[in-house]
Amino acid sequence: MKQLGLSYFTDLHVTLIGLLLFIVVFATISFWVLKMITTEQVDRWSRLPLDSDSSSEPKTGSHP
Amino acid sequence: MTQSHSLAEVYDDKIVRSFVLATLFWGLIAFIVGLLAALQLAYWPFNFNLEWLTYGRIRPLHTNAAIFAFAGNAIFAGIYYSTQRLLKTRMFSDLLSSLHFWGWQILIVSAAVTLLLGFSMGKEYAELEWPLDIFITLIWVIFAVNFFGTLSRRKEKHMYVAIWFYIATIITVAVLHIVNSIEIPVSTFKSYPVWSGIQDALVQWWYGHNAVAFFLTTPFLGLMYYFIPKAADRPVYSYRLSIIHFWALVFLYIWAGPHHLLYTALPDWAQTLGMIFSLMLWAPSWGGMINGLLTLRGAWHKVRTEPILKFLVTAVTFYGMSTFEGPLLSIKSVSALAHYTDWIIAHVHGGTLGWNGFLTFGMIYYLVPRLWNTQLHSKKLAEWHFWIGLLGIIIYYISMWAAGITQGLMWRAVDDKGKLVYPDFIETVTRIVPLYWVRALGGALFIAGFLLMIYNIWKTLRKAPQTRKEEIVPQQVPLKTQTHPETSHRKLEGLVTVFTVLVVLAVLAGSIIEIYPTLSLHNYIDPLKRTQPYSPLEIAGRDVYISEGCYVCHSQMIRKLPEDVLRFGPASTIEESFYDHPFQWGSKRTGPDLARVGGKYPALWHYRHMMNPRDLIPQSIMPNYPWLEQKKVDFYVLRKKFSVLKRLGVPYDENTVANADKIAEEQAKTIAAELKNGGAPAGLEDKEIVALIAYLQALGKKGGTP
Repeated sequence: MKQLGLSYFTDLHVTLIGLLLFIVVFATISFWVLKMITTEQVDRWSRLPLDSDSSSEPKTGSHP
Repeated sequence: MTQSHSLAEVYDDKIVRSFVLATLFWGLIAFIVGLLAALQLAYWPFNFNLEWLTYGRIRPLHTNAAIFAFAGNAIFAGIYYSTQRLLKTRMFSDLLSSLHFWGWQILIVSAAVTLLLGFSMGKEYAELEWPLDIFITLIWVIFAVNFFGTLSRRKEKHMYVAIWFYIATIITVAVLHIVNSIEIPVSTFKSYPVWSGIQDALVQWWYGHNAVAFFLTTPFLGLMYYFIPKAADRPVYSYRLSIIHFWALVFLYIWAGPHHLLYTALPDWAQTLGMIFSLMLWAPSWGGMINGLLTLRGAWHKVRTEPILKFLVTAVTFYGMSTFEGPLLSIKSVSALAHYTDWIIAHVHGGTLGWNGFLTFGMIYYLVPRLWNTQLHSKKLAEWHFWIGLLGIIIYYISMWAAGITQGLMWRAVDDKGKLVYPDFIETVTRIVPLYWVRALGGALFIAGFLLMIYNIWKTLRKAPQTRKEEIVPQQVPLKTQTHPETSHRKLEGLVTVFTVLVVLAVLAGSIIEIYPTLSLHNYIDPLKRTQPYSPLEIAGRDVYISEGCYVCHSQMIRKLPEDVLRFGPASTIEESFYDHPFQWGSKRTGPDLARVGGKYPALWHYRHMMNPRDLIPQSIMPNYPWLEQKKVDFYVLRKKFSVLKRLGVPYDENTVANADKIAEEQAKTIAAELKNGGAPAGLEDKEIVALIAYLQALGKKGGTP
């Protein structure tokens, strides 16, 4: 079964690199998100779309 | 006329308006062509016996128009609008914006013309020939320079999460397009990909799946993270979750391509890899969906009265449904039932109509009044659009689910003696034709809703003032002079280059690990011992097969499943398609698999079948191909084709390359004589029908079976 599953695959080191990358990426992102960012920063960032233009209402320009 | 501001910087909304109008125009074209394709499957005379309008050419036009013309223009409209406001600066270059817009429209028109004329690479969603592939690259680079230039002059240090999704889109689409489109030209509109067989299959579905991921998902997620907070007037539910959503999605998506090739000749390890990563995608996808929906906390009452929110919320719900169904379909046992059936078509349209379509509609209803300084003509019409469109999608979705599951179950039905209950493939087709009519009804309703939108927008624009007040960029302290005490925390999201490099690494990690081992397959296989390459006439016929889009309805891949082997013969092997530039495994069986059709019928049968399939199979829904007995084969170009194929590694000797035309003419005379003896017209020896018959008769006859 194992032999069948791995037929044509002789690059096991590639799998290990992939697994390592996978763990490093998620550990880093999780640590960064949960520990390195303050609530104030998150609040400000999340409001960026709301602060990004002068009005959130459609304009009602005058007709010529 | 636009009112200019001599001192203050204003946003470039002219480009956004252009992309919005282009979205509406191309959306209508894409949907109508889709409806025609749906009707052609329900009632074959809708092919009109015209080569430019046959299903094999219409279907690639529909998919390309829906993805790159409709969704593409929508993405660009949303990105240009939100990027300027999130970064508090005008786009980097008006000239580049304009070149991007007009270049993309020229590309769409060129794609439509060439696809209808039969110029095709034969690879789904990547059908365009090499000159257009180069043109796509050029336009994409212009877009990228304009976008990253805007990032470099931004006045807001933090790149909001929507911008992250846009960066991932630009980088990854570039990588996917370039790698999948490496090809060697033969003539102005003919080329062969450097990849072949299993390599081509893996690269193509790595591209195909991630075209969905990075053209139809990540940019739309960016738009979701911008437009839902704007429409609901509330910040995103959890910004922390959006960060995890982004990185998880970007890292995982790229691995999932092999789930399109389950039970095929692809090595099992790659299939399992694709399945597992597809299942893992459940987590980030649903994290994103929940984040989008919960943004409406405390504002759900607005959904009742605001059509914009109705569209956006329903779009996110469809995103949730599609990203639940996708991993489900990637489970090998589910794929065994669903693959090659209309269940996949249902899944795809749930995503494109529900997720991409409704998000685009919500975005346009939001943008138009703001871009044209007026108010929407009729909220009530928008409500009608929503309900009619939603009904259309539901009818479409359910009919194709029913058709797919019905056909999948019929294909695998085996009696107590181990024989197929429905051995004639046509039985499984006629059973679902009524559902094709129902699907066409669903599509027609979706278009009816869209026409209401076009009318509504047209009336809105007529009311708009001639003099537009452009929105002024808010005054902001220039980025270089801003001070941030918490800089150590903000390096990642502040440094565009570092961020982009990390995205590239995340994307390349999965890509290399997945594709690299298959590039070395030739070390383990000796194809010379087992497979013979196609003859010159067979190659000419193969090019006709690709040009007519036969791969759209016929697979050439017998899966390692009992029902496939019982119906079509021994399972396909890696060796059999080793020299196929491009591979033609297909993804849908509207007609039967052709991997072993060679020798199954005499040449005359194929001739009569191509002229009028109903002469032989009265219930057939296949179009007629009368032009194939009129159009001549270009024998002389075969030398060039064989020279290219030899350079790509197909083991042709010098004599075959130098005399490809003569060898082909000899074989054609033999087949034409056989046809004439059977009662076919004389003088077919230089016609495309003979080349196509030669190719069909060669399928499964070149060795490579165990």
